[in-house]
Amino acid sequence: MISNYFKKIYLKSLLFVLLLICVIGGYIFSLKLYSNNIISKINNLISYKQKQKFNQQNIIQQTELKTINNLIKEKTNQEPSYFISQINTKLSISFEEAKRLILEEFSKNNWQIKTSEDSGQELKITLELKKEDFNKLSNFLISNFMLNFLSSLKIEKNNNIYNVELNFRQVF
Amino acid sequence: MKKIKFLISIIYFFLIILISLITLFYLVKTIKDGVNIYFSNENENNALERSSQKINISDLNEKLDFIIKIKALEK
Repeated sequence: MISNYFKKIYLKSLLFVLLLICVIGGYIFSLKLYSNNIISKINNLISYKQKQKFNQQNIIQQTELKTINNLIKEKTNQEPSYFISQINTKLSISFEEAKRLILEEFSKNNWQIKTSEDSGQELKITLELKKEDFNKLSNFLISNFMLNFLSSLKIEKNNNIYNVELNFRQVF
Repeated sequence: MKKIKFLISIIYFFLIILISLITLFYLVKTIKDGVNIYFSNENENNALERSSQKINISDLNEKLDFIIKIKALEK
């Protein structure tokens, strides 16, 4: 009789403990769920903010691009893409092409080269020029970004004649 | 009987403490994770903003003037 009574108590307390474990487990599970829910909401908020920032930056960039395009059109009377390609072609010129252009310009203007030394990576030219031709040469060098290759320049003025010594070097 | 009542009240007391600690643990964990995620993202955004250079219009204007002045657009 007594053992039966203890058995009942034992079973009831076991059931109670199991129930308690279930309740605590459920509570932990719901806490985890809430925690994940809050974290996902924070992530959503961040992604929304990022989207907003991205859109804002896009609008700013587009406005800037429009301003730049308008400025280029206004100043140069050229389409921006054409303007950039023109400048790019001049800036990305190789030393060989630069040498060819220089010699072409000299022969086009009939400038008599006194001495010329071409060692592949260096081109040394001395020539005599009148004032107008000297101006033309300097304009040519500046407008074609040839100063990039110019390593030294010597000018001597004799009456109205300019003795010019140009030294071009390959840029790495 | 009194002893059993005392034992049960102690069990309940520890149970309440355990539940409170679990709640506190998850609360702190959630806040910590949330703050970490939020501020790491904020720092990334700030770094991106700092790295993206804004175009200076007046500087561009000067450069364009220079290009026109040196007749770089003429063939």
